[in-house]
Amino acid sequence: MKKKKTGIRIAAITFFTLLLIGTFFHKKIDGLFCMKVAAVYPQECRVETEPVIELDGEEIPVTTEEVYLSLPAAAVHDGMVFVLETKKVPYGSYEAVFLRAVEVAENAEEVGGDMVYIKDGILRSERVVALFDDRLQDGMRVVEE
Amino acid sequence: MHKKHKKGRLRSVTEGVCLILLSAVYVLPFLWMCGKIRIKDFYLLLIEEFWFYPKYWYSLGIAAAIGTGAAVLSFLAAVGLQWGNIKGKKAILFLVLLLMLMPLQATLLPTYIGLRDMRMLNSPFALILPMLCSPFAFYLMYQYVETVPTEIVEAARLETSSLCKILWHALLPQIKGSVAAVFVFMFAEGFNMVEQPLYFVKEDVLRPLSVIAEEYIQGKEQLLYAVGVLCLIPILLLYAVYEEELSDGMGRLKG
Repeated sequence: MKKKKTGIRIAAITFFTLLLIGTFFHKKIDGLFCMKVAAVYPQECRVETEPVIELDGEEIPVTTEEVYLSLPAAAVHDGMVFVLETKKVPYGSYEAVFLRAVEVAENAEEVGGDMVYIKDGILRSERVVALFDDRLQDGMRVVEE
Repeated sequence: MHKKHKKGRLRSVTEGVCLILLSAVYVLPFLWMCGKIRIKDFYLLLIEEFWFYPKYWYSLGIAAAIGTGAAVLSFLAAVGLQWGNIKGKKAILFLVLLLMLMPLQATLLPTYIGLRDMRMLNSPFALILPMLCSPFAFYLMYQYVETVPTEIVEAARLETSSLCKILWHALLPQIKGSVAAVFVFMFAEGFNMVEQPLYFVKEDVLRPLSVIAEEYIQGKEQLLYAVGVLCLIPILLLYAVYEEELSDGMGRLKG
């Protein structure tokens, strides 16, 4: 009987100790197992184009400026990028980072080098996963490096 | 003689089978729940669901406050009724018994009005206060206090005139078991309460785990099994620690 009570007490202490450890360190533990990703902000760039329009049989070059967002080519795969979203989860000061898959295929134009221009789909203020990885999924929680 | 022995054996076997079947009714849902759990669910709940820990501690705190408060209040009330110079003890006991038999839903509205008038709605006190004055806790405690010999109190009175000392040194050691029983029963009731948080508090922050878990686990129903098991553990531990006191308490309530 005494042994049983001692066993129960040990079980209770273990349970609550684990609960306390979890309470204070679960974010760190989570960080050990969550995928780490590097994030980049898209950069705004302006491109001047000179289309030629015909007016009364005369060809006139017109300079227009288009505004694009540029991302590293490694961030885009099959016209898809992953945007990082920080959500404040209920309780405490925790902020978790989730991934949101965004299609940018139709607007992505490779312009040489290792950058691609994207017309829309993402905002300038949104962070994007810098290096596309097959393991990344929509709605997945990650840790930002 | 042989026939009588056989009949008795048959009876005990039938009783045993009936008891096993009855306990299966209670145990099967728990086993079913345990069977549905995957280890991954615990990881998801304990590591990824950030809301779980604060809610768990909050629910434990509320339940502990209810358990402790109800044990203290019912102890004092029972002692007062037993040894106090009160007229109409039987009528009071009858009223308490009546209240005990009433379903919770019948007392929700009066409690709500009382809390509203005291401006305690939407606060943790709205969950704790109504549970402190539990007729069940009082009745259970009274069953114990009734059995304490009057001589002990009389002897203590000769030693000291301090009521606190009499309660603490003479009475409490006699009914330690009942205090434990009331604490465990009320703790379990507080930990599992559902209706009171729904009516008395509006903000999610103030609602305990028993109510809020389902809301937070939208689309991840699998995690509810893990929540269920984790919610069972503190109560199971308390039941295991105070097993004797509880069975004794239920026996007295029956008597």
